Amino acid sequence: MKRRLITLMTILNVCILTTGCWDRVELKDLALVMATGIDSAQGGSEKSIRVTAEVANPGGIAGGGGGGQGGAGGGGGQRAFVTASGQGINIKDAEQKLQEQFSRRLYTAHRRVVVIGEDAARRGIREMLDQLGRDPLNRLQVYILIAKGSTAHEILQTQSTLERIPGQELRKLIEQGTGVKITMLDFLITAVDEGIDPIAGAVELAQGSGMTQSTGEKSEARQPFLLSSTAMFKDFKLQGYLNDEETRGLLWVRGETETGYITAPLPKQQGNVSVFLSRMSARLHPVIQRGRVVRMDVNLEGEGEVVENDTSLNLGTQENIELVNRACSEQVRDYVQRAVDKAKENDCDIFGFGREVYRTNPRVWMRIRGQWDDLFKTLPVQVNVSIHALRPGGATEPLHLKETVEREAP
Amino acid sequence: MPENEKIDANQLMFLLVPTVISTAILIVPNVVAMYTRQDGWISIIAAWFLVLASTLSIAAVCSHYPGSTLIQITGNLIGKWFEKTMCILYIYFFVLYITVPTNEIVDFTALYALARTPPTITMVLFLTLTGLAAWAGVEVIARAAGFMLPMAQIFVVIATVLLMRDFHFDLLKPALSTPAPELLRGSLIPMAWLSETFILGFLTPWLRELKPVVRITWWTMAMLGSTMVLVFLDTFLVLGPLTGHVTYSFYTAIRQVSIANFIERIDPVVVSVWVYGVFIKVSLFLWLLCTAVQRLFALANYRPLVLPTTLFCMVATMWTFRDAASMDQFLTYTIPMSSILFQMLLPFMIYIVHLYKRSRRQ
Repeated sequence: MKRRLITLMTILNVCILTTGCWDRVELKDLALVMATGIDSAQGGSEKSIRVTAEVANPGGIAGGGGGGQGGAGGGGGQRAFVTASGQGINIKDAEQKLQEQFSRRLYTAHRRVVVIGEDAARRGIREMLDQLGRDPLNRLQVYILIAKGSTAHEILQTQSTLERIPGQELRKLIEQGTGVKITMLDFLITAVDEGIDPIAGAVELAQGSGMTQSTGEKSEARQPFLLSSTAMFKDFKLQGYLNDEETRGLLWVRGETETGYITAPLPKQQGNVSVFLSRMSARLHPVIQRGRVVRMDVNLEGEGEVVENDTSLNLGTQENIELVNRACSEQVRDYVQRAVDKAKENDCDIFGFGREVYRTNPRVWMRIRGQWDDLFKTLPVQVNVSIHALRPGGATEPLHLKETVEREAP
Repeated sequence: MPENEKIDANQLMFLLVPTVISTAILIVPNVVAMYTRQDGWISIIAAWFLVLASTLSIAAVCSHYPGSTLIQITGNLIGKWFEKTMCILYIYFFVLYITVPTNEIVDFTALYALARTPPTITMVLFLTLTGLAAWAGVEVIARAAGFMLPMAQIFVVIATVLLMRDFHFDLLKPALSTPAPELLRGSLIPMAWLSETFILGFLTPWLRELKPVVRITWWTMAMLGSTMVLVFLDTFLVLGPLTGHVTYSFYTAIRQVSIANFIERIDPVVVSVWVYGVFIKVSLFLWLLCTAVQRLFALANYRPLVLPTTLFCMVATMWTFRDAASMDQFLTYTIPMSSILFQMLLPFMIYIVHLYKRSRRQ
């Protein structure tokens, strides 16, 4: 009997003591940070930064309102999010300053986007990366964005349209797939790896949106953000941007896109064709002679179907498809070549040419890695593209042309 | 001498596998990648072969002397004084093997699960539970392990499947480019962990039958090797060159799981599986420690020793390391050496002596 009592007491004690209640956190005591912005601080000391937190406002989400016109500064209760900024000498310091403004604990584990202002990025983000990875609350899945031509603060203040919270809109904009999709993890891997420099997506405020909206004038609803370009980094400093066409070339070479559209002009036929690529592959091949990298071959292959054709070509014939293939290949070659030129100009090996040398010829790489920056600038790059339009889409001849008059002889 | 508890051969495997894997998962990918980056799996396989040899030799010796542990066998082979010395050495070693994993798991939970709970509380509760398990005896621990092992293995497989989307196989290139000395250095750490299978030599007296020991050793080693390589690959294919920079790299890799914004944040599951695994490990070592002390002083029963030993281990756990950094140093530089001595060289030496004596007798 006594024995049984002791057992019972033990079990009860274990149940009571091991519930982990010490760390219990009520959901209503948390402020969910949806996005964080990092800018270099105006004034203050040289290195101080300003961190902007965008926090979901549960009342605003549940209570409706928000939407397009809820933007006025006073109507904080209506908006689905609130933003606040704090200045400090590093991220955690600034977040402490932020916390002093919030009644709930700032909780960053559900954050999906970190926006870094252009100015801060140009000064260098080396100091920021560590906190974003070390703090156990932070996850490496957050996307990194650079606020091209503006500050992170402005981006995060802009009222989004389709989503209630700008951070959410940014995340979906990235995941939708046309732009650069770089997470903290990708960024860190490329920063640590041999022979490749990191990139990040660059988001711009679309014309006419942004701070002007807060004046309350009823303009037509516009999409606030534009994610089309790529930010290039060298030694954790922002060097420059690629525009959207160069970005497409870059993403293809890095193997980060699986599908895409290519539109190419056919000058002789006075028109354009668009091809949807359902399979894209990229292979890098460094040509090494006598221990020196003499050339980098970039071989791109794509397959897909024609989705638009405003020339008068009949795409039912092989010769005409061949014309389309050649025009598209030429177009892609141009994209990639331009991206390569810009990367060389900015001294950023964002394609990972050096990494490819390391992966295929580690011995050679170990010898030349010290001089790779100089080698990369003068490295001849040969881009070979072959695009196959396997299917002409839903039509062979142009759909709108009369049978006899405008049709070209096959 | 053994009490009337018995385990069967499968339970031996259930005990050995979580003992090695539970803490190896936390540390090994990170340290191996520090030395050998993408060639870490080679280091692990190299370590595996060496450990296989030493473990098989332990199994061979033990199946020759039914009813006595590795230490008692040395008494038989070399002499009583040697047995006592060995006993004291291994007692010291077992204390280390209780305090180190306890520290690991306490650090880990403090960092990722229970940030505000004082680590001391976590530690005391944890060791109290293991003390209860040690008091209950090896049979109970083995049953708990039998429940745990399939869970942990299935979990590793599920984690692999879920992570597959994030795999970048290119990260393994260039293969075989690490120079041999680095490979060897990288293999020290997995060797230290894998060779924890030496406790086989302390469990055989409790086996129901000795015949399947060698077969079970093979099975255990196969499971250990494959799991460890799998865990390393899981980690490296996701984190790449970052693996060596991250403290708990497998855990960090698991945190990347995100499938359709639906299967996400499965890392709390990891924490519970690991705590369970380390619980098995520490209770087993606590039990081993108590029985070793019992044998040193030739006591009739080990149970009265459990309470004082557990209390001692609580103090020792607080005392051993000042912070995570000093433990890291210890795990990376000290443990490999001492474990090679205690877990591989000494047992192997016993095997040699055993062979020598046997050839003399014939």
